[in-house]
Amino acid sequence: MLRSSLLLTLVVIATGCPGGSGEIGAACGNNGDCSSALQCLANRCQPRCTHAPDCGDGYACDQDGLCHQAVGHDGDRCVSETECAAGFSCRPADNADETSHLVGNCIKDHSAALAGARCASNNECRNGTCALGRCVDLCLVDSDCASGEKCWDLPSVTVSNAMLHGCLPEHGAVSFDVPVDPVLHQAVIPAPKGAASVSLVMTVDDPSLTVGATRIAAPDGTRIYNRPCASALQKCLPTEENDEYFGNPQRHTPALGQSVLSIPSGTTLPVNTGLYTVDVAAQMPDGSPSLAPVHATAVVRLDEGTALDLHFFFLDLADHPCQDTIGPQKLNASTAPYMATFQDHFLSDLSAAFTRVQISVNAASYEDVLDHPSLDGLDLSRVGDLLKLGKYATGINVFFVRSLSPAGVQAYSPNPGPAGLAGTPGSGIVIGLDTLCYRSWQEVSHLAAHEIARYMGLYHNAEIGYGPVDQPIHPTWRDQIMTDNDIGTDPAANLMFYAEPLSSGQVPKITDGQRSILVRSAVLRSGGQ
Amino acid sequence: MIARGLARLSLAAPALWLALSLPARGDAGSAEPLLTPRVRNQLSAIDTLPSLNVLSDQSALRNAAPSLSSIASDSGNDVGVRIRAARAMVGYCNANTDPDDNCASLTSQIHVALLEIITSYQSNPSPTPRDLVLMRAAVESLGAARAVLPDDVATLLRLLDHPSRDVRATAVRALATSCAQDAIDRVRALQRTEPTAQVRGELNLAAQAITDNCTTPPITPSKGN
Repeated sequence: MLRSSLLLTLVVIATGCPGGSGEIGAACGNNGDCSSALQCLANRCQPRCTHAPDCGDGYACDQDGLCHQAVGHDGDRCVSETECAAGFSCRPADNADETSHLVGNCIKDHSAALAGARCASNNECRNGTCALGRCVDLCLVDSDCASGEKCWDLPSVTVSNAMLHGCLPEHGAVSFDVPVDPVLHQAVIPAPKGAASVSLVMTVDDPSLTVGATRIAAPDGTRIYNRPCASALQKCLPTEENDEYFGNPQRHTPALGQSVLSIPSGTTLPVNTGLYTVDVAAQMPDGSPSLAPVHATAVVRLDEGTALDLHFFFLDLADHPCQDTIGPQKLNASTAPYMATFQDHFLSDLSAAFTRVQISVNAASYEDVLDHPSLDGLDLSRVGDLLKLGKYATGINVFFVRSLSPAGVQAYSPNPGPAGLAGTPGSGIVIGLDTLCYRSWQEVSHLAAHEIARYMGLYHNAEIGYGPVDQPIHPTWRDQIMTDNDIGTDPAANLMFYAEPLSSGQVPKITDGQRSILVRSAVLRSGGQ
Repeated sequence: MIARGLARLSLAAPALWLALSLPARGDAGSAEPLLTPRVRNQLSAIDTLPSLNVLSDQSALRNAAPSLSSIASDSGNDVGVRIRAARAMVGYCNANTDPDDNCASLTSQIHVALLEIITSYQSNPSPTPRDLVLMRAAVESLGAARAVLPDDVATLLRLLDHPSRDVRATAVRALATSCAQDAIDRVRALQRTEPTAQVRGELNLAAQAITDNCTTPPITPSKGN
């Protein structure tokens, strides 16, 4: 465990009881010589540790905050990096113990990437463990890991049915490239124990190709998704396609150029610890298979989030026909933070929609996009060119364009969006400000909230053309987002109703089930971040 | 919000609500209201155009294209609903790809309805911003119809001089989408004089599309939500 530390060469002398008067730097013979908040290391009083890396390479940190020198040397069995002496790393072997966790051995360090560095395979890491795209230290308890990290129970992707304990960030999300098996056309997503969500972003270079999952198996082998038949290609009737789509426990829709699989998509199918196996495929416009390689990136949300950062981008909105409603000035990155119409009527209503479900909204940044005039009036066929400019991985990139085409489409979001990833053809949402020629800022805030929620993984609560208007969603999915109290209420009052609400001024409803999906999105910050 | 005006009217003036709900011009044979709550919702979708299959399934819109034409033309309807109706109707028949007699007839009706919206805007001495976005929707639809009639091109060419760059951009895009070969000289001339980068970009794309065997695909409403 070679981490930067001020205490790299210290020697622990852990005898006696703390309670002396020695301050930091004072000479000491044992812990009893130092004040109670300190310990005696290398014959000097030093702060107690909270994490093993505080002590330097080759130490553990106990519950009392005292450093203990590790004694594990070459070939000694270990379960945590803190058991191996300085200059040795705890590397997992290929066999597991009775708890199905990989057994490790202390192995002399070699030249390779340190813990925390990006990796694609175990060999790239000094400690021999690459998990979730990062070199991780093996651990036993959270204090074995660095500050801000936690000892997670992770599935091994190299040893079947085995787990390992590894240090990863306590909060937020991690993203990493996932290899797609060229023969089986499969990608594997590791889901740590306790992870809030896992997702897979599948991309092909040719945006005219459809890409997505064809089958998804949960860690226990249960099939949770089969690609529905395609009525557009006359493979079946639209009703049959609907039934197959809604009959899947997991939702997913392949799309042109890029699609996102986000687990969970409902409340009845939790994230299970282990490896999800995803069959991926690219298709030609006529539905025939394409040999184009599929790139896959996984995003694992480790804990639930509470704060939503919004990053606003303004295309050139000069001389806009709806200026009277926009406000007294041209809307851009300089004026938006101070313009009352934007702040008081748009942003405050938008915030209220999410604050109601304990998600705080923060206007994190304002930027102009003036060097892409061809995107000012955006045709949705080019939306990927705009959303690629979404440079923030955490939070949501919100683009304001002059107008959207086809006319009548007021806003757009990928559903779900590639939460946690920046710079992809789906990294953001778009609001067409021509809507302000016939709607208010408050009403546009509803549209924005609707699209933000779609980006975060919520689906429409009523499907256009499915069933009668008063009970429009398939029961499989209605029951996942609604409690008994919600069923029977007006679906149009919900944020995820597909159409504009009949009346403005009311905060749109988000059910408890919908909230449970929102807080798992990788766009959110955690309280600890 | 949408049709919020309609909802208020329905409470305050039932007779007017009934009038708005009744079939508009050209639909005298049917007694069913056009803007049923479900149709209204579908013409108020936030992030999709209404599915053709879905609208065709609606009993009130059995003759979807003429019904949508009526909804788009009715100034008593919510502007958002009218915009979507104007944009959706053109998807029902494409004279280039479905050249049967019925389709040609429908196309003619659609053209008349769209041109009416555009000329109504042009003859309005004090058009509002909402009039402008409705007119732009009609212009976009005219291009998406891809059945270029002389009147269409003349109308679109006139809009290239409009003071709003959004209107000019939409008109240029419509000329490109409809493969208006007759417009190429004007498009090329404007490439040198158009003051805004946005419209110049559209002109460049249009010049390329019109001269490049008109490979620009037709824009049609999306299939579903």
